[in-house]
Amino acid sequence: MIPAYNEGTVIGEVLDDLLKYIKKNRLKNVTVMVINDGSKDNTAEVVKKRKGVVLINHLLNSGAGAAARTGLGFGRDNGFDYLVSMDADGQHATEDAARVLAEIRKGQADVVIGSRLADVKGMPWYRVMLNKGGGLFTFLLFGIFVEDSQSGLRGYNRNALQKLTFHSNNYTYNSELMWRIKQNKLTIKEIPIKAIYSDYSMSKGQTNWEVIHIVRQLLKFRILEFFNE
Amino acid sequence: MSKYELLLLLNLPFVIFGLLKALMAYRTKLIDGLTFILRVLFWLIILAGLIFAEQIYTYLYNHGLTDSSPLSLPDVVLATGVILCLSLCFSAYSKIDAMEKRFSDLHEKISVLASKNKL
Repeated sequence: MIPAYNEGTVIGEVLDDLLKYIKKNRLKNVTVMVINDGSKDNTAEVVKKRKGVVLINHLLNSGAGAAARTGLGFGRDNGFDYLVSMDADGQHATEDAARVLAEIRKGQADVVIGSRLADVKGMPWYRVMLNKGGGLFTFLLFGIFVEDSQSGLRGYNRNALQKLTFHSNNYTYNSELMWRIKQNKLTIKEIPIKAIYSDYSMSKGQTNWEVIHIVRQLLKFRILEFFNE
Repeated sequence: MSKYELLLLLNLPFVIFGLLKALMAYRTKLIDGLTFILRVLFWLIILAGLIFAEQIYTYLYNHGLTDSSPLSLPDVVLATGVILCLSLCFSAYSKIDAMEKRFSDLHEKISVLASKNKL
């Protein structure tokens, strides 16, 4: 599952790599799905050109969380055994996505997270701070510690797909998802992955200012859910 | 009737409502045991604050921790009004939040259906 918003310049390459890997390794019963979150560029056209890719177009731009939720819902409704999510900006290597899939298929955990923080070489210091801070804040607020809670490369098994749901529409969903994993008593495993940083991928994702908004929203969630079921 | 008794009387319904809501949520298994205990504890602290408001004020005043004037009738009205407004805000927010969730679900379902029809 690849949630995408205005990724027309890179998503073609990401999909080509993925489709090539699937063909080369003769993987069967694999669905490649792109959730186009109301992109204003040619993302949908680029995806449509690739045969065998399921494209779900959000009618409205709703955010990364909403796109991920649509993808998880699609997987749940269509009886997927496993689902791997990865970023559309080329930050994740196809091989790492395959490793996450292999790990989740071992059945040792309900959710497998590809951690970019195991080896931070090449990652700008403020990104390291941002991601580590996200993990620490998630722990303080929800009592679950995950090294890279903000990673977009994740694998889910059927049990996780059935149980997991979240309400955040934006990047807050990364932290909220960890909370829901804890609430549903699902197990997590992290495996190290290599993040590919380009000027393009650096310009995407969460900005430092968005973090303030995310923190505010998470606090609100925590307080409101205490009084409201 | 003293002003402190009036304060308790006016705000007691909020506490009772909060406790009953927590009990109902626990009975219907919407919240777990720990959340139930924390919620009950929260409302009991509020209740204790209301019951012992006069004693708390006297204690703080005698120990030089506050210099404010004793509770007046407008204070009682003001405090009750603020709590009522907060309660209304919370209730309205809960409804908006529920609607937002329903809207998101609807949007996602329509998007999937529309995409399937195009395939």
